[in-house]
Amino acid sequence: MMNLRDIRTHIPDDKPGRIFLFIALISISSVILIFTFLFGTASPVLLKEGAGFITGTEWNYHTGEYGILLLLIGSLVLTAVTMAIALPLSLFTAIFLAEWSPRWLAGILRPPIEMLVGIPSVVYGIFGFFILENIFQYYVDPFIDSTLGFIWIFKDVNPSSGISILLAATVLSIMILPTVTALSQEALETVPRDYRHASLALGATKWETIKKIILPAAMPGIITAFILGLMRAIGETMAIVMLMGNCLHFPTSILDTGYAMTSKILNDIGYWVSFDEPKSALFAIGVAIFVMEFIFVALARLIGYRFSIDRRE
Amino acid sequence: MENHETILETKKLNLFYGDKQALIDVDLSVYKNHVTALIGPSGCGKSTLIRCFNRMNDLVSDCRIEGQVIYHDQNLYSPAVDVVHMRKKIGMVFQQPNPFPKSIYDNVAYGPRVHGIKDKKILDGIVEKSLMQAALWDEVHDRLDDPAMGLSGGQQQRLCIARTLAVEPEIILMDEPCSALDPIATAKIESLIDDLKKEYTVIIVTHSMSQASRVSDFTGFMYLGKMIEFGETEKIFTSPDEELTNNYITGRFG
Repeated sequence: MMNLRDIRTHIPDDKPGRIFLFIALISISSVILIFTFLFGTASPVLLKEGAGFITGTEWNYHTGEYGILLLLIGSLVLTAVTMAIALPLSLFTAIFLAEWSPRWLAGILRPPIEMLVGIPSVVYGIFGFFILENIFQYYVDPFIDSTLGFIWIFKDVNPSSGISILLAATVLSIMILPTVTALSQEALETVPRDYRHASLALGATKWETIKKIILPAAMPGIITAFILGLMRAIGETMAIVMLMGNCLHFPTSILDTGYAMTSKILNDIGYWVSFDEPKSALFAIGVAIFVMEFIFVALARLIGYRFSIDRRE
Repeated sequence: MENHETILETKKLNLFYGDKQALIDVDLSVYKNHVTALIGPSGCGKSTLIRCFNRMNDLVSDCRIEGQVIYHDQNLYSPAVDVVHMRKKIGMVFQQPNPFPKSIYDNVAYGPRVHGIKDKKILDGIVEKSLMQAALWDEVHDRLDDPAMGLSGGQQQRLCIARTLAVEPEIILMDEPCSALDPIATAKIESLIDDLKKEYTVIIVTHSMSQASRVSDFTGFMYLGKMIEFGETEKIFTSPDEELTNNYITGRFG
């Protein structure tokens, strides 16, 4: 156990050390403050609803019913579809950039990919709304419906609109693509050259080397990249509000509309923030997002650990 | 020297890194089931030369090669050569022990698996045989599933040798295999090299002249990209023909 005296021995005794400690404390305390504030404000509704907060499907400020199940499902489906699009896209891009593309080509491809990071999410939102929405309504949705529509999750349930979970997920994928790609590429490139040489010298082909040596060795870094992408996907609000339809119901297909937790907060906070219970309820959604991120990160780490761990095949 | 069978031969081998010439008209014959050592001061091209034998220089983007490396009557640099297959026959052990971040078993089984062997029994046999040949079996047989990174440097290097042996090469290239090891580990690898030449042909690059004299049958002395002198190790170290060789082995420069 650590008592106060032990802590004191960890305080640096030189001036720069103390200054850095002080600054570190500022950032750490701001995190603690946010948590306290978030949980504090949310607690009345969380305590009142109990488990019903998660399992309830009604959200009504007038009757005082707060259940986030449909919002939770909306966010989960959106995140799942986003990751299903973004993971292969960014990982394969990263593998290409790190392993195959000559240096000059990587030099040309990297900057535009990185530039995507700088575009504000509201711009992604209007891009999706004014350009992709039409394309999805007239081309993408009918195509998916006609090829995979016999599976219920690919059915085009509202052909009159391009607004859908898939549209939101597609735009979200483009948003997280640069982060995940750049970090994955870095993870791949930091795998020691020795491994590569050893594998090639044993008569493995380049692809075998990538598959069996480089990817597993880079897995912790790739997982970190995915986690950062995942966090952004879960937390993203602006573009989602514009593209997912914000219709509180159970989405039956990825071409259906949905309502994400973040969108609910953004849509309602402007008006309901001045009422105590609604405000607490909206903050409770924030807590749910926080917990969801926490669980996802833990899961991703666990999966990544299983992937990278050394086991007999 | 004439009664030895040549397994690998270079003819007028020239190599350039960009504008810089690293090998100049190198002619060398490597004899089967013997140990050939390449010695010379740092930067003389000995490591570059050994990397030509399994085309590891291909990985260097601005590397250009002229001349021939003949292996089984075929120029390794002719377009018809399957580099992947060739590397299976000409294995390499590197300067730094570089086991994969996998278990001991998986390290040795890596090559055979890549080449399509899936049968667990066969793999077990290969792993055991290779580790035996690399004189590592007794030390690790009861912990094959432990990570290879947990082994000592000397053990890691012997594991790398076992990993190379597992794909049944004809020639084993060793690029300063002991330079990162302590004297005891070095002695173990040296006695291992002596055993290996019964079945394999070994080419070793070393900066240690005493090592070259201990382990090799033939020695090539290189200087500034040229093969200055090549001959039986005993002769090179006792009565070399070239003044330069004599100066190097007597420690006048290096």
